[in-house]
Amino acid sequence: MSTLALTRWPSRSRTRSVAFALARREGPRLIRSPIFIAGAVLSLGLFGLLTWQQAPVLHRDDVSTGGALLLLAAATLIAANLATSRAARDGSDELYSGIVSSAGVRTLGHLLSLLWAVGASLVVGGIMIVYLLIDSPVGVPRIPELLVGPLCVLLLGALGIALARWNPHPAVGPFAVVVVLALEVLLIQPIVRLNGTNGTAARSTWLALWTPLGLTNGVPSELAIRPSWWHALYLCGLGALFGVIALSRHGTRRTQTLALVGASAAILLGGVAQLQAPSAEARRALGHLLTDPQDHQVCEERVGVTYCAYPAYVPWVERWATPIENLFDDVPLSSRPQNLVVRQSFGSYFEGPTDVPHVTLRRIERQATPRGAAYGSPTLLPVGAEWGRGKMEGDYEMRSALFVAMQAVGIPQEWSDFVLTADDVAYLKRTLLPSMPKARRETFASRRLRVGAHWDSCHTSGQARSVVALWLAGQATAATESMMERVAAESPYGLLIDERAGTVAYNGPLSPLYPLNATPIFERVNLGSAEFHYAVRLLERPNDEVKTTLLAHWGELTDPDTDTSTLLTMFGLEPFPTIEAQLAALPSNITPLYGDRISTPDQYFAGVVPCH
Amino acid sequence: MSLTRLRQTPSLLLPTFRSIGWGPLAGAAFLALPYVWDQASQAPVDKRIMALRVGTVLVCLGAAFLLDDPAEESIGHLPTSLQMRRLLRIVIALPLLAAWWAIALELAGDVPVALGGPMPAGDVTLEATGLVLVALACASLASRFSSDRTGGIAGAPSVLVLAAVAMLLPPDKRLIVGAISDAHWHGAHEAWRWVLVVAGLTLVWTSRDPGRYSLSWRLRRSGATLRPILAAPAEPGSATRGTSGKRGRK
Amino acid sequence: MTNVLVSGAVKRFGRTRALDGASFEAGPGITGLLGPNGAGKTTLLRVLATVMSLNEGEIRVFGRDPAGHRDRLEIRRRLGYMPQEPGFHKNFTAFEFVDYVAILKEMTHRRTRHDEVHRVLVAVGLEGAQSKKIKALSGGMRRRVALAQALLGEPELLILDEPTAGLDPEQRLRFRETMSHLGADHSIVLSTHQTEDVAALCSRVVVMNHGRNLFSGTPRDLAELARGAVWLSEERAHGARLSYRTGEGRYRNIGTAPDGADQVDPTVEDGYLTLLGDEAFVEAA
Repeated sequence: MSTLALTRWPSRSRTRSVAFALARREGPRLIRSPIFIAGAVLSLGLFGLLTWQQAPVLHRDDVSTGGALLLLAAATLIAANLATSRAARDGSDELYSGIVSSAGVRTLGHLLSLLWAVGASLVVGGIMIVYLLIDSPVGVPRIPELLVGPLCVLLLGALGIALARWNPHPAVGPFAVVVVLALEVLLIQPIVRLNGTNGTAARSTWLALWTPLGLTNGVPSELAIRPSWWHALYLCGLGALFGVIALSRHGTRRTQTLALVGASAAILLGGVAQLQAPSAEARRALGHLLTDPQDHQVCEERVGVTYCAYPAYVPWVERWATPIENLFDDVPLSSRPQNLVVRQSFGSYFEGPTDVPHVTLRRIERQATPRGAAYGSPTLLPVGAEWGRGKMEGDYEMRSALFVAMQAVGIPQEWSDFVLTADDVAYLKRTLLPSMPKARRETFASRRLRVGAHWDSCHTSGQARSVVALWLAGQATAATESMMERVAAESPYGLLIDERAGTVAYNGPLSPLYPLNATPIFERVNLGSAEFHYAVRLLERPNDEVKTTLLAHWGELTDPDTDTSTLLTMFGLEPFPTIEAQLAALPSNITPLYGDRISTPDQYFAGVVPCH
Repeated sequence: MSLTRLRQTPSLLLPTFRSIGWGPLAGAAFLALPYVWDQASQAPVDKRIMALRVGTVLVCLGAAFLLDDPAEESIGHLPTSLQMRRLLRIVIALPLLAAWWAIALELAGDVPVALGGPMPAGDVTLEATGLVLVALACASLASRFSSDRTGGIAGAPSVLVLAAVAMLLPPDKRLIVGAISDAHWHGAHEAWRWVLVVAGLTLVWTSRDPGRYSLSWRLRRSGATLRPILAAPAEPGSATRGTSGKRGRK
Repeated sequence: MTNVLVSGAVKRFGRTRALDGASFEAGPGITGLLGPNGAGKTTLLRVLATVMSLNEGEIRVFGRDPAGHRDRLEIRRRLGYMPQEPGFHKNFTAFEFVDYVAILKEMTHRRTRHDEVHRVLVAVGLEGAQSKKIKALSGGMRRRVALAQALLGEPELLILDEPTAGLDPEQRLRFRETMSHLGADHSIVLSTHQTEDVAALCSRVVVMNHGRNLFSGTPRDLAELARGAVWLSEERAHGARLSYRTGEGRYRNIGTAPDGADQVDPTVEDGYLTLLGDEAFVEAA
C-alpha cells in the first residue's frame, strides 16, 4: 500500500468526462487570450528574424521552429496560469467547492485544455514551415525537432497551471517566464559563446528546453549530432512532472504516483541519454563528410563548370550557377576560367561546438593551405552550407561572382602566386623591418624578404583590373549590384565626417566588401576602396555602354600595369581626392575619432605588396 | 497642487504605503539582485548590461502591480483624484526602486576597461526608467479596460511582450541593443527618451478621473439647462408611467 | 428642492445600452430604485456618484453639472456612496479603512476625523469590531464598513447600491432606523431588490427596466397599480400570472381576478410585478 495519503476522488470515468468537458470550455478560451495571440505573433516574428536572411534548409531551420515557439510557450505559461488562478482571483473557489467535481478535476481540465494550445502551436509551426516551403527549401525536416516547440508549449503550460495551483497571484506567471528564459539563456550560453570545436563541452546545454546546437557560430547543422528523440522524451517527462505537481495540490492518488514515477523515469532516461557524447563512429562519419566530400557529393556540369553538392543541396546548384553564368556572358571566351569546380564544403573556420573530431578539423585546415584539396585552388570555388535570401543573397552571389571575375582579369588568388619582386622586397624592408625587434630583423629578412619568395597577401589598389573585376561581379545579378550599392552607402570612400560629434574616422584604403571575408581567398587579396567605389560609379551607367568599352579595351584594362587613372580617363570618371588632400581640407573643429591622427594609406599598406 | 491636497499628503503616506501590494515588487527585487550579482561578476560590460536589463524587467513585472488598488470601487467617488492617489503610490515606491537600482548598478557597474568598461550608467538608467514607466503605463492602460480596475494582470505580461518586441525589432530600430559598441546604441537611447515621454503621457492620460466627461461632451452640453420633472415634493397620486413600461405587457 | 436631476441618460458599454434614455429625480427624503437584474440601476447610481460619465443626456447634482471638473469635485465633497461590490484593503482594520477614506474625503484634522470615524462606525453597529482586520470580518460586517464610509461627513446626498444585501434582520431594522433618521433632512437614493425596504423607507420610488424608468411615484402609487388584480383562493388559480401558496394554506394570486374573487389590498411587490408584466413573472417563476 502506498504511504501517501490517498484522497477520495469521483469515479474515474466521470472525472474524465467532466475534465474533458471543462477542457473543451477552457481550451478555446486559452488560445483566444490576448497573451496567447501576442505570443503566437511574436513567435512568428522571431522565426522570421532567425530565418529571413538565409535560403531555407529544412534540416537546419526545423531547429529554429522550437526556438521561436518558446515565446508562444512562455505566453501559454502566463495564459494557463491566469486561467487556472481565475477562480481564486474572482473569489469563485468557494462557489466551486460546493459542487460535486473537485478542484482536482478542474486542474485536470486546465491541463487537458493545453491540448488546444498544443494544437495552436502546431498551426503556428505549420505556418513557419509553409514560409520556408515558398522559397524552394532543401533538406527534410526532422520530426523530433518539430516537436520541441509544441512540447515546450505543453510543458510550460503545465508549469503555469502548477504554479497557479500552489500560488494563485497573477504576478507568478510573468515571473516564472523571466526565470525560465533566464535559465534557458544560462544553459545555452556555452553553445553561443564557446570557442573551439570540442564536441562534448556543450552537452550540458541539452538540459535547456531548446538547444541551438548547429545554428550558431556558422557551424553547419550537419556537423552537430542532436539527440532529438531523447530530448523530446526529456521534455515530455518535464511536462508530465509539472502536471503531476499541479494535480498533487489536491491530494494524491495512485495514478498520480504512477505518473510521477513515469515522468521521473522519462526525465532521467532522456536527460542522461542526451548528455552522452556521440559515439566515436558517428563522429568519424561526420569527419568523413569533410575530408572526403567526393564520396558523398553529386556532381553536375553546366557551361564548362562542374558543380558538386551534398545530395540534400543539389537544388542549390541553380543558385550557385546563376551569378557565374551571367558573368561568363560579359567576359571574352579566352578569359573565362577553365576547369572550374564549384564544390560544396562545410569549412573548418567556424567557432563553435561540433561533433567532428579535432584531428579531422586540423587536417582540413592544413588542406586549406596552397594547392590544398579543399580550398584555394584557382579552379576550385568552395561554397558552404548556407546561401543568402532576399537582400542577403547578393552577399553570397558576390562571393562566387568575384572569385570568377578575379580569375577572368588575372588577379592572383593563391598564396603560391604571391611572388615577391625586387621592388616588393625593398618596399617591405622599408616599411616592415623598422618596427621589428632587432634580433628578428635579420632572420626575417633573410628567410622571407627575398626575390621570388612567396608572400601571404597582396593588393590591387591602383590597378585598373581591380575596378574591372568588381564591376563584372557587381553586374552579375540584381542582388550583387544592390549589395555593392548598399556597401558603398554604408562605407563611403575616404574620410567619414560626423559633423554633429565633430569627429572624423577613416576605414582605410581596402575594399569594404567585408561580408566576403569569411572565405580565406578574399582575405588574401585586397581590391582597394577607391577601386570599389569607381566600380559602383560604373554600375550606375548603362550596362551595355560599359560592357562595350570594356570588351574593346579588355587586354589593356586587365593588364596588371594599367593603373586606375587610365580606366578613369577611358570612362570619363572624376578621380576621388586623395586621403592626404581630404585631411588637409578638414575644418579646424573636426578631430580624428581614433587617436591623435589618422593613418594614411601608406601606413595601412605597410607589409602589403601589390598583386602582380 | 491645492492646499487641501498638501495637507492631506502626510496623513495619506502611511495608509497608502500599507495599501500597496508589495509582494510582487519585493519578490522581483529578491530574485533580480542575486541574478544581477551572479551574471555581472567578471563579465564583459555588454553581459552586465543584459543582466541589469533582465533584473529590471523582473522588477517591472512587480512594479506593474503597484497601481492596483482593491479599494478602488469604494473610493472612486471621493474628492481625491485617481491621479493624486497614483502619484502618491509612485512617490512612495520611487525611493525603493531607486535603492534597488543603486544596488544593482553597484553590483554590475564597476567594469574594468579590459572588460569594455566603464559602464554607461546614464544610458542604462534611462533604459531602466523607461521600462518601469512602460510597466506602469501598461498597467494603467489595462486597468482602464478591466472591469475590476486591476491593471497588473494585463500590465505585467504586456511588459514582457514589449520587451520581446524591443529586442526583435530590425537592428537599426531595436530599442534593446546588445553591445555598447553597436553603431545604433546612441540612436536607441535617443528613442528611449521618446519611450519615456510616451509612457509618461500614457500614464497621466490613463490615470485621469474615470468619472470625467469628454471634452466634446462638455462642449455639446455647455449652456444646457435642466428643469425639474416634478415641481413639488412627491404626493400620492403624482405617479408617472414611462411609455416603455408597456413593453412586454399583454 | 431637487438635489438630483437626470434626463434622457444614455450609457453604452460596447453594444449594450445600460441606460437608454432614463430620467430620474430625487429631492430630500429617500428615493428607492427598483428593477430587475440588469435594469441599469447600478449604472445610474455610478453616474450619480460621479464615478462614471454619461454618453448622452443631462445630469445635475446639487444643481451642478459633473462634467465640469470643479463642479464634480464639489459634488464629491457633498455625497456619500456605497457601491454594490465595495472593495477594501483587507489588511486594514475597519477603523483604519474608514479613516483612510476620511482622509481622501479631505478630513485633514486628525482628532475631528477620528471622532467622525468613530461616530459612523457606531452608527452602523461596528463599534465592537473597529479594531478587527477587514479580512477577519464577515460579509455582512464588510458591507457595514462600506456603509460607514458612505456616512462620513454627513453627506447631503447618500447613494447606496443594495445596502441591505447580506444584512441580518436586526441589522436591516437598524439600517432602516439610521436611514429614516438621515432621510429627514438629507437626500438618499438607494437601489434594492427588497420591496419591503421601499415600502418601509422610501417617500418616492422609481422602477427601471432596460435602462429606462417605467414608473416614478410613491410606494403607495406603485402598489395601487395592482389594485383589483390580487386575490386569495383555496386552489391554485390557473388563469393567474403568478399563484403561490401562503403559510396559511391559501393561494395568493396576481393577474386578472375572476368575478367574485376574494380580493386583497395590493403591496408594493404586487404593484412592481404588475408593472413589469410578463417579464417579471418569468423572473419570479
